[in-house]
Amino acid sequence: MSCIALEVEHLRVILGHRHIIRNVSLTVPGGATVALVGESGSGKTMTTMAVMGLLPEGMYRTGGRIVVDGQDVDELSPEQYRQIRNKKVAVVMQNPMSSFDPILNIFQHFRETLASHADMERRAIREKAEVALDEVGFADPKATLELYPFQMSGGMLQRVMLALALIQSPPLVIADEATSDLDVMSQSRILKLLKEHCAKRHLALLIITHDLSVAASMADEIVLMKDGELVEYGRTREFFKTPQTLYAKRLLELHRGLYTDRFLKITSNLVAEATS
Amino acid sequence: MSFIELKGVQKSYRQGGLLGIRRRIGGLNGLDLKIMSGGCRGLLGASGCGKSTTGRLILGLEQPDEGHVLYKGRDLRELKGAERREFRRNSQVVFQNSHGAVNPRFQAWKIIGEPLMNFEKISIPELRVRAAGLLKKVGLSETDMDKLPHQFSGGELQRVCIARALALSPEFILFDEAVSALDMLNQSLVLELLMELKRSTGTTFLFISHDMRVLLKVSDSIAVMEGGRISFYADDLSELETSGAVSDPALRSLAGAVLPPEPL
Repeated sequence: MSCIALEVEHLRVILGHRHIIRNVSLTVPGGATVALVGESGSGKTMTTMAVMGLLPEGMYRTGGRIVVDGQDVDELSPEQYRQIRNKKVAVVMQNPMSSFDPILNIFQHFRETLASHADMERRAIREKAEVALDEVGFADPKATLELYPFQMSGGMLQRVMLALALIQSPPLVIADEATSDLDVMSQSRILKLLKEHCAKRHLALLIITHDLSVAASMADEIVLMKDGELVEYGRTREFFKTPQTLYAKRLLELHRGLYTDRFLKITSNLVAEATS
Repeated sequence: MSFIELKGVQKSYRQGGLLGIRRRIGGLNGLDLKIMSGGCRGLLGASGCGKSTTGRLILGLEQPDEGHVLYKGRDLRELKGAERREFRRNSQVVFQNSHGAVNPRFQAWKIIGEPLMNFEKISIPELRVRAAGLLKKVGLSETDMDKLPHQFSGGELQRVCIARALALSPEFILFDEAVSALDMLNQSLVLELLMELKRSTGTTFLFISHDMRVLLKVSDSIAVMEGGRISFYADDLSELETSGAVSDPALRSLAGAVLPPEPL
């Protein structure tokens, strides 16, 4: 088993004549969590799209090396690349509503995912799906399998997506703003599940986020991007304690500004009540 | 005096279904809420607790099944003609999804000018002058006036929406998760703007959010919603800070779900 789930070296992507990603490198070892942080339009999502070989029309990778689970993707045929996407990488996207097929129920989504990977009987799929749904906290997995996406809330769908992503235990999981559309309660629940499952199965996790509190509570390492370039790359704790660049300092200042004295005081009052 | 008051409001939605199997779901369940004039009033709650439904009732976009929505002491349903028009002019809104809230074919000046054209007899050159002033007020520049929505970033377009809400100098603006879709940088910039506008205009804001951090930053009072009713209310946040222990399960779980600022 290789130890490095994802290695990106000197990635460059162009759109027209403009480089939208310049010289981005990062490494995600197995069992580790790396957060790719930046404001909207900084190239976070396009970096992961390049990794998956799914860049939108008009964008091309012009340089750099991408190694997924020990395999250089440039040495693969399109069919082999597809296999890598199938078996080695799972992606949890931001908008759960548009990532599901509205005319298929949850069981059919599981069947589709599993059928593209292996020959399995209907009953085996059902059993596997029930276990997976149970793991992400559904009280009644049997009933959940019969639901259609529109009958579920965003947080529930995001948990189903997580179950779908993890069912094959791919060595690399990419969560692209997976919790940005959810309220704080669903967010903390999803993040906790994601962390637990990745730790349990020793999966590598790449988190794309603009929210430094997500990075703080999840990541071992932080990669900060701005305008398609890598600004800072280091251990999470060091990043928060001693940011090297002005830009990182500014972001941290804004981030900490959200936790006003008023917020801290009122929440501490609440906690005091909870324990008494 | 309260600007808007909701009294014993019930509201539910019907789920579609074949053969008349229509379950009634969600909505509001005996909601009482007073929104006093002045300052920024915060409404906090998890998804599905009825925050946005409350907002829609306050704006008169929907009618309650039971109970009353009072605008300056009068039931919204009684307002007709000129009075209703005045109410419409006086309460404005900024939604979460700015790209969905503007006409993609309108330039910024036209987006901002639309309410002005609706309510005032105004010539195009005059309109452009007013739009330029409003753009400056929200921290954009005059040169942005002729841009189309797709040429703005999410944060900038949200400012355009705020400018549109300000155009008629209303007494009341509703912000429904207005910063939730923005990244951290833009979020804090828009919040700064809101605090500045709160000071300078004296308009009453109702700020709806699920994020307690953001809400406490701009609000002067807080109402917590759960299951279609208000579970906790504090009129003065500075008092709440010093008043010691607070016990409200909904507020506690919302506060507990906020991620810590620093790595452990």
